[in-house]
Amino acid sequence: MNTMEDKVRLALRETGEEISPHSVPPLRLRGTRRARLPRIPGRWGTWLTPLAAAAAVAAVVAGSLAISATFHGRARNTGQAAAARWHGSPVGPRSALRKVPPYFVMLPPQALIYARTALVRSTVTGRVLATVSPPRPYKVFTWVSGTADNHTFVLAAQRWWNIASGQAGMRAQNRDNTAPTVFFRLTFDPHTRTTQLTPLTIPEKVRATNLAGMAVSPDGTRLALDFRKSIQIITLATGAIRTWTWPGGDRIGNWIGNWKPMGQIFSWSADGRYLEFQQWGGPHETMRVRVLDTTTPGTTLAAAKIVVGFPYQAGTLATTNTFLTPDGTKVVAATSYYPPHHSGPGGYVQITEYSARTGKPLFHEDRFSASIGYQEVLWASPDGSALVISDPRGAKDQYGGRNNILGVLAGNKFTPIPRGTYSGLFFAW
Amino acid sequence: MNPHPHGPAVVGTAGAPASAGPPVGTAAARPADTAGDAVTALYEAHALGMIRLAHIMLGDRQSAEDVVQEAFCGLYRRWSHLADPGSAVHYVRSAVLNHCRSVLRRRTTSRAPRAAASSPESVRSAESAVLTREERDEIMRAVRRLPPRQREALVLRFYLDLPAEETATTMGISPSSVRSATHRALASLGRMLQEQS
Repeated sequence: MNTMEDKVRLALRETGEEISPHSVPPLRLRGTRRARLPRIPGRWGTWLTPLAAAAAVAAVVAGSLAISATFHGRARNTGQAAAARWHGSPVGPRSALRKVPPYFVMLPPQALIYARTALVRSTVTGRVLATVSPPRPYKVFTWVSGTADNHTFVLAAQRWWNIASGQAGMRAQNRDNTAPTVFFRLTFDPHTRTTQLTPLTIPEKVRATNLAGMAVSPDGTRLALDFRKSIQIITLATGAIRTWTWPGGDRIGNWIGNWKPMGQIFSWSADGRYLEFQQWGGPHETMRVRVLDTTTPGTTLAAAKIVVGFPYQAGTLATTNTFLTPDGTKVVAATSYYPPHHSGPGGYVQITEYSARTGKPLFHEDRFSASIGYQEVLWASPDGSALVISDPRGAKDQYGGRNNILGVLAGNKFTPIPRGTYSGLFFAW
Repeated sequence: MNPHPHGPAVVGTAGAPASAGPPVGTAAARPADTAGDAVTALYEAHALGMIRLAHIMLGDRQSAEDVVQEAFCGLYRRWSHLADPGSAVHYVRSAVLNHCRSVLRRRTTSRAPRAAASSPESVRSAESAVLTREERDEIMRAVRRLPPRQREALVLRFYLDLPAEETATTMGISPSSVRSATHRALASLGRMLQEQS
């Protein structure tokens, strides 16, 4: 690290690595061929054009109001929908923290953006109860998921190297790219506050860059892995693998996961039968929330039921993170709405619940103006009446928005989890 | 339709490369039914590297994502006019740099340059004592103060490890101009960092 060139190489590389591989947003090709408005010829154009523009604005406003009233669901209790700006649901009582499981695991960013330790924390006090490091030679944890007993979690880990001076370039990058991901079962004993890390046997090698998410089944017996183009469910006791793919082979238009990623990638029904996932891309680039029945035969993801679709189109709701309630009756979504003129005021984010049977919105809550921040759904009670979410109530950030904090959303009230400032990247209850 | 202009903190595969995916040109050469499929395949293979490149150039993640999106959409619009699909990656890389230039130009004419947004989650690891975070931020601030051509040459040579000839093709200048711009950039950086210390 003596020469200016070495320092510059390292600084550039580290700056580049602030963008993680899984944070690449999907490509949006729709709308790139913009349709031009027909020009109105002659003198009619001089007054018809502003008239048409005024009519268009009126139509957009009316359409927005209609959409807001009919499609976005009914607000639960509050009448804030007409306000110019939204600041979320009111703060709720501390007792709401008892409505969710008492422990959670978070992966804080420690090695660049990766977690060198997993922290077991109390939901009620926010305190760190145990700290776990990956056994050698593994250095970082990359994903976490929890079972229904709230004492057992699954962690993904992998090796990690600091790229030192002189190692920049393709060779070092390719070495990192081939790092395998391994999985551990983490059990936490709340009485002794001790943890145990047990390696899980996964029959096939999982390359780090291929894995885009995971979720352990509520009973802890199966692990669902997101490979973007396919889903694998591994029975941990036997190592048996079932794979679902899109029909027709590698249909590059479809992929599984979520936007950044945010919140949880998959969610299971309590009986371990249904697995919820998001399908991106495909026709019209509509994001679809799908539910896969893992007990029926077949290998095609197309068999998974579409619960609700979010077309990529200004003036409609979009979502970044969804969660199937354990009873399988609802899909909770962190949704966002932008008016047709994207940069204009009126955009908002909110938690919306949909019927898993009909796909219709049931209600929404915790609405924030879109300029303030974003939300995530991290856990849901069996019927979705209590949620763990993150929403933008933290300190102001450098962009004029607010940082996220963790909290429990129940009865349209948000109760912050103590010490729940959004400093971790992945959480699991 | 990003839910938030700057998005959430993210984590993913540790140490994965900027240029993950098949070698340059491979994705474009694979049989694709439509332009959309081919461009999507290219995007999947190269978007990360391109976003990182734009992020280094602009110091702003959201703008970087927008710039790359725009570049790939441009490729999609012009796909039928592309003489050699194998050169699509070079085309996109040049487009990303062009869009970065436009963004930087708009920033200088409309408002003060945005401060380099160092991600709060990019905490230094304990085992890497070669460059402190302050040093890195200082270097990046200095890099962003370089004239656009010098900055581009520096990033293409030292971040992407491109040879002078390929850098020249991407920037649309001669290889000797690339070498000279790189040399001047390093000299300027040295001066700037010395002044700061």
